[in-house]
Amino acid sequence: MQQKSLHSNATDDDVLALSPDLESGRAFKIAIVGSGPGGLSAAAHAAELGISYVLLESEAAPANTTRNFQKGKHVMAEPGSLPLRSSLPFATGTREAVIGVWEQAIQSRGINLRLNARVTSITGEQGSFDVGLESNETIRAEFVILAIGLQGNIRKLEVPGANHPRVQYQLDDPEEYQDETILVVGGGDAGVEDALALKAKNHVILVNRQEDFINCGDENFERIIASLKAAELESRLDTAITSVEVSDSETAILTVVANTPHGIERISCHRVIARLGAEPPRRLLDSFGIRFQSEDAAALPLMGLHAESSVPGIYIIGALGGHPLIKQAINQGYDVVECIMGRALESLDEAMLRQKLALCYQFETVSDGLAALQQGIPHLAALNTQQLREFVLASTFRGYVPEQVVFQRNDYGTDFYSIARGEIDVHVDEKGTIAATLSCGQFFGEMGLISGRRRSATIKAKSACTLIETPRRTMLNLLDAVEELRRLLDAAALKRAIHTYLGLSLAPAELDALVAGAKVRHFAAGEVLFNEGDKADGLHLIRRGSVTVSRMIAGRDYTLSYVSAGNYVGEMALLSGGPCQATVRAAVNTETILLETEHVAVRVEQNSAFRKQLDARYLENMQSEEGQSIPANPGNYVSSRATNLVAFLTQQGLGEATDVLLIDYSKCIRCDNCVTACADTHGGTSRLDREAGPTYANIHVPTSCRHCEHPHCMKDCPPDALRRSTNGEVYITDQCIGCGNCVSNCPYGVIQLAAAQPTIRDKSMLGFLIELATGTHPVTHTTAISAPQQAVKCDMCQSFRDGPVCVRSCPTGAALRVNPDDFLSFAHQLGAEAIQL
Amino acid sequence: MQRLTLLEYKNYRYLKPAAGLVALAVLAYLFHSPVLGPRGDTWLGYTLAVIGAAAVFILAWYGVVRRRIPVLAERRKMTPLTLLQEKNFQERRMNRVRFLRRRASTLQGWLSAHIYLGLATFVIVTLHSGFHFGWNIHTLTYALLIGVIVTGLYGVYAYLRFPRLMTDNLGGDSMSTLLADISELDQLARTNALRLPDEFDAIVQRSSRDTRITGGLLEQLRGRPRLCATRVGIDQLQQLNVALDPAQIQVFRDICSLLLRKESQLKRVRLELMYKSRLQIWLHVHVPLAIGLIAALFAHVTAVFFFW
Amino acid sequence: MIRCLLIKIGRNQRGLPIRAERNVDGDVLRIGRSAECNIHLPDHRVSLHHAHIRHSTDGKLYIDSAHAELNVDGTFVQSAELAVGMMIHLGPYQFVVEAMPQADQLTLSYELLTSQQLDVVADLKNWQPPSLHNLWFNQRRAAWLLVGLIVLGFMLLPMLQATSPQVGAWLQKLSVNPHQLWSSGALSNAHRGSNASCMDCHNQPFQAVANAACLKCHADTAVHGKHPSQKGTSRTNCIECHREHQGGRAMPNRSEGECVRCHADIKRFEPVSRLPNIRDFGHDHPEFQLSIRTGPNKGDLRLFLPSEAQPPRQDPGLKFSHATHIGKVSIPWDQMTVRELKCASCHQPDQVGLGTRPVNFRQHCFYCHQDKLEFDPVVAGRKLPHGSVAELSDTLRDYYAGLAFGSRQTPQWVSASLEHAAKTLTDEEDGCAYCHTIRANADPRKLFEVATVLQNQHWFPAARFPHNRHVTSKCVDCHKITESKDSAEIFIPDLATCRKCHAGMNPVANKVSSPCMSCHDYHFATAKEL
Repeated sequence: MQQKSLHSNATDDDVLALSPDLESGRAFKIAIVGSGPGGLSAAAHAAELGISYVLLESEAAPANTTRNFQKGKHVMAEPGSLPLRSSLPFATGTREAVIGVWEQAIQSRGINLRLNARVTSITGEQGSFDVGLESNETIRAEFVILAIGLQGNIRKLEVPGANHPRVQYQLDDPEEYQDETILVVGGGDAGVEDALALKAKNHVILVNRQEDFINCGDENFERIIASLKAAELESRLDTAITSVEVSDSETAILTVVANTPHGIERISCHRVIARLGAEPPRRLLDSFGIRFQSEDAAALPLMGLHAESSVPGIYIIGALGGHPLIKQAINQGYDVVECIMGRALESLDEAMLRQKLALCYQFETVSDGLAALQQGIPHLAALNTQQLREFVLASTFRGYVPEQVVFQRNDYGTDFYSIARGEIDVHVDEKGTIAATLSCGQFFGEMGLISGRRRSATIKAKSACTLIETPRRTMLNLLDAVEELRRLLDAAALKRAIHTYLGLSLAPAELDALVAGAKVRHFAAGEVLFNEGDKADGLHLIRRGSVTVSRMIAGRDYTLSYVSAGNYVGEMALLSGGPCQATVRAAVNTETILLETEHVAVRVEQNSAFRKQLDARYLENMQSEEGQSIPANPGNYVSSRATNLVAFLTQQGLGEATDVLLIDYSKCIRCDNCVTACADTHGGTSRLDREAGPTYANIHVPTSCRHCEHPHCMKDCPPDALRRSTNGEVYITDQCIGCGNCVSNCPYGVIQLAAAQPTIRDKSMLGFLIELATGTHPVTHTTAISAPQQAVKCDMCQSFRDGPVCVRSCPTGAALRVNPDDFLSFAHQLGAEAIQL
Repeated sequence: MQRLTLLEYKNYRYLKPAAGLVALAVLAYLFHSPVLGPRGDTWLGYTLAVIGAAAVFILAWYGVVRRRIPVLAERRKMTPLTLLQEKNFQERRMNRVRFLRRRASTLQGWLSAHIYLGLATFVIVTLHSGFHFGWNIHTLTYALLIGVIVTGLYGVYAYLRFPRLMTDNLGGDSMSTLLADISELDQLARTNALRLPDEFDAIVQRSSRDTRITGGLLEQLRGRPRLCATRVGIDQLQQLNVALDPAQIQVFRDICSLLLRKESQLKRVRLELMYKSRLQIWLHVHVPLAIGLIAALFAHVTAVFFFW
Repeated sequence: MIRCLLIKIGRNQRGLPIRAERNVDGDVLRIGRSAECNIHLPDHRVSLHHAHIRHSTDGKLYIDSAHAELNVDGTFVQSAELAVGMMIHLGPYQFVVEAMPQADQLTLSYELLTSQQLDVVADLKNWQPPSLHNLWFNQRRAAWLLVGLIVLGFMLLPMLQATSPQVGAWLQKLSVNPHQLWSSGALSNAHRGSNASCMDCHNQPFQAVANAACLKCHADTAVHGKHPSQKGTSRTNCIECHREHQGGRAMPNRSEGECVRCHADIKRFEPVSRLPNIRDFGHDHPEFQLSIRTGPNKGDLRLFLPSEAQPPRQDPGLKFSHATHIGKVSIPWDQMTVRELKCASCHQPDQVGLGTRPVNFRQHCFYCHQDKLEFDPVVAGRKLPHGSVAELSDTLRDYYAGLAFGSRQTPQWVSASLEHAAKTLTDEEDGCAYCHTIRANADPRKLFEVATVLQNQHWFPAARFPHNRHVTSKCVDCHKITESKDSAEIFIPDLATCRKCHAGMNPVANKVSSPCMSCHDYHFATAKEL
């Protein structure tokens, strides 16, 4: 088919014009800039079609980015599900093999390739572009395909000391380095591959800015997780490098100062290899007249239909256009040539998009539909076409009838909802008062997304409406990629927080103005948000992490309470404008949105009703605070012990827990019945280690899942096997592929990989008595020994009727399940007991 | 939050029926005056026998429940189909079963009941015996029961007392951190000893090589070894009479303090092991005696009815 | 001055050598554990000052060791000249003299071969506390052992002894008796001496001891009611009442209230029975039924039923007034002599003390009434024998025949005399008829006939009244004889009299609680006795 159409469409002139010898100034139909996979593919297709074209390459050999891959690198053909459209052959293989295939293709197809031809300018308009080369030649072309990739503009490590020669941005041959400690920075494919290649002969520490490896391909992902599990290399996640120092000039050892979630760490190493990706050559593209989505350095160019840039006739494909994968680029090269030839191809996922969008929009082409979507839902405007497509593909469009409940207050749910059509009501309390009505184009569920906490409101459909339900993982990826979207959501979250928690009824415009000045602030673990007695800077809405509130009483620091994500601190200061009454410290790495007092003060000046409302609220808060337990006698041992216990529990991450297993060591007889019971109920693998874990004042925190408010484990689960039930338990479904992400993500080490051993236990009494008498199971059917490993963790025995078996099987009642609400009273009780005994 | 001990479980839920049972049995015993005096084969004797035997089996059942709680953990059925089925003919039966099971579903409750029932059984069986003892299977059965109850009482004492002592002893440390600490102290002492003359070095190396945490079971139960090599080493070092230069004296002092610290850590480990073994050892008597009791009970009943 | 390039060889993770070089200079290179040594080897297997390298007088380099081991190329030496390629083992270290890169520079490489010393330390760190469960004598094994011991010794062995003759014989040979272990108590005194084995009584396992076992020795024991072998009889197994293994004393009974089990509704157990239902002496006991003699023979009895209107009478064949026989009485033939008569003067307790001996003429009547035996005033003092009329007739006949023979009287005289004597004797005032009822003569041999005296010893043959237990009360409290003139009157107390003092099984104030067995005896079978 393709071949036929090729011959029928190509004119004789074009065929004749095709010549390997090029004349300067000669006009081509297409000028392809960059001989990477995209460019090569476009050129190969153009050659097939017999269109006149020229392929311009700035370096001395084609496909430089690929060529600069490390020696012997395994080049992957991802995504696996995507069929290859182009005739340019491409399959998974080593760098050398891939390059070889391509060079052969260039040879055999006689690709019109000009090496050492760096493009410096493009002028003109569609139909007659003048492509200026470094050698002052000019090539005329009707269309220009920009396939220059990003490698020309590598992102550097912009920290003090990063100009040291041992801080490098490329790795050609991993064999060059031996017995060195090497810090690889960057969790993308490049960084991961370098780390994997170096690990055999060196001590490698992989530093990733993200909390997980969301930026690398699946294959790399699995390999790096496996290596990390086998302790072949180390990693520092959620870590930013703040400076590089030379600690010993003789041995040339560098000290890298890194900001880890657990505080500042100084890492000694021989070498730093930073693979931070690249940014578009903005200045060059600006000079071509191409416009970008935003001023952000990482922003993508504005793209029209079929990879056309803001300058008609110039097409952008490959990494520059936001498609970093080789296969995507190759397909795009093919597509774009087809498009130039006037044959618009429907992309592969078009049908699905059409089907989904058709639920709420009337449109002809899919891109129209997407445009309609973007128009209808303002917060999606910041997404580019590709992201939008991903968003739609990952989301579910769901219709609701009036009064239908979308979700209930206090449910656990992390999906994000955008309203495509209709209106919904927000009920904040049990009485069903309608706190707000959201209409088409607005969104909700962002609190769950941001904080991972229970839903703070019940949502009911007001009219018939269509909601777009987006999984958390997709949204997090988008938030990570699109700063604009993040800002939008944060602002909305803050607005709602002010509205919900402070109960301030302000006109939307006023609220907007109030929120406009809000800032996002980051705090490392242990960092102080504000000190007691300081001038308050404003209200902190805790978006992520948690904080402890403590107060100095008689020269001692007493932890009064613990505030977790989704709550706020500093409201008193905001209301009164006076000094803070307590010290607030980040318990873990914490992100807050700060609404500054000054900003509020201005508003208050202007609005007397607001003032009155604030005063009333302040009084109310003061009264409720009186009621709280503040140690009356600071010298009292009881309360000091209790307070220390709170501090201890908080340290153990119990603050962010929703339900945690504690063992009262004054009653625990160390029989480990809980452990055996757990193993017995869960396929032979205990999800709890009684002995491991810290102890303080008779309270032991065994290694067992805390069911965090913001489960670290759920952050990156490729098959989305980690779920949270409506009761709050975090559990793993059978979809688990055993990748081990959650294992490494869990800061408390409570998840492990184990081969499932579904045993059919002989539950009959006879079988059991035989077991008792002989110590062996009489009938135990174990499935194949080679059962795949899956992650296992505490699921609170949610599949059992009678609740957690660890607690039930404790003979002395030492095992307790506690939720954070009970911590304080529990701690005080313990303190009192300690006095008595 | 429920923070009560075994004995206080649910406001003495099981003490009350046990005490009632005992009171009833004692009253019946006092008012019952058969012609031939109280014996096991009067109507009261047989009644008490049945109660006692039932109690013994319920008590032994604790051992089964202890392991069977996870086995019995009932899968939650959540499909609409099963719900429907339950609603129909099975519901009543299931509810009854579940009711029974739920009441007995926490092991703590079971243990609390176990303790009180055990004490009640002592009284009931003693009354059943009518205080007739001899060198026969009947008295053997009684003796085994007494053995089981006495070890059980020790167990209650151990359960109530040792956990707190263990925590007090270990504090925030764990066994492995202590061992690591000991090992590190040991290594430090050995490394330091290299800088001293051979006599010192030899003592330190020897004490280090000979150091055992504990030996056999008895040592473990006693909580201290017959001879602690570290202690011996410290003593020997003190007695050595070799002139040292000032730098060496400093090293010598370091080593002594290292060894002393090691000794104290060793003591803690041994204490931990002592408590742990004392927490466990009684079970190694209690359980076999209980099993033997059941066998003896069968023999006792056989003997009674064989020669009817 | 020795200049030395010292190469320390370490190994990286994959075992490849890592060479770290440094220069060591000195007049003498000292090797040892001590910190001041040029070549410092921190290992306790090396001496403080182990060896030293020095220039000899000829300028060559020597390694010396004063008092420690030095192993050069496999042999232990005190001193050796250094040569390229030489291998020196010094404790755990191996030194190699390598080729000199510069002419006057000694090049030594050394490597720690074994780091065994750390093993003990590592051991402590990973030391695992011994688990009690790993002991040989663990719970499971101990339990099995105990169970085995008990089942074998206390269950199977006694069982086999009973069921298998071989085992029994074998055990006997060993003179052990596992059955002892099953005994619930010592045998009673009576049975202990019998040297019987358990199986002599316990014939069948799991079956109660059968009557047959008891009857083997106690064959003559009377049975209660019908014979137990008969169908439909009441429960009459010996062991219902007689409990063995109660310790070394007499074999006790267990009988309290057991009778009522059947007798409360006797028809249920014995449809043919004519006995009334009885529940308790105190409130549910029928009026006593006197057993009245009607004739001299054994079966001449009739029951006086309480329903009869007349008071009970029994003609004993004697003229007797209890009233004249009580208190101060003068002897009929000697009015001057007065005797004090009491009940016990005639009614003397029997040997057991339960009842009284039968009243006897010779003992109780003769002294006062001896004059009545004199038959002829001529021969005053001559007394006839008391008892048989035939003997009396013979005596008289002999007497008169002898008299006639002496005085040559005629036989007619003899018979007339006899007739006269008989007349005298049957005189109501002076002869037998004083007490006895004289009847018409039936037997020609006898002079006259005397009605049989019926003395009733067993008024209540099914019960038993222990008089000896009632010694505290007077006879007349129960037997109202003081006004009695007629010998046919009966003074056996009735139920109400007994109930004055006796209650039933349940205790009542001021009364003696009296279960059935106080009066009735289970084995006291009516039919057999009388």
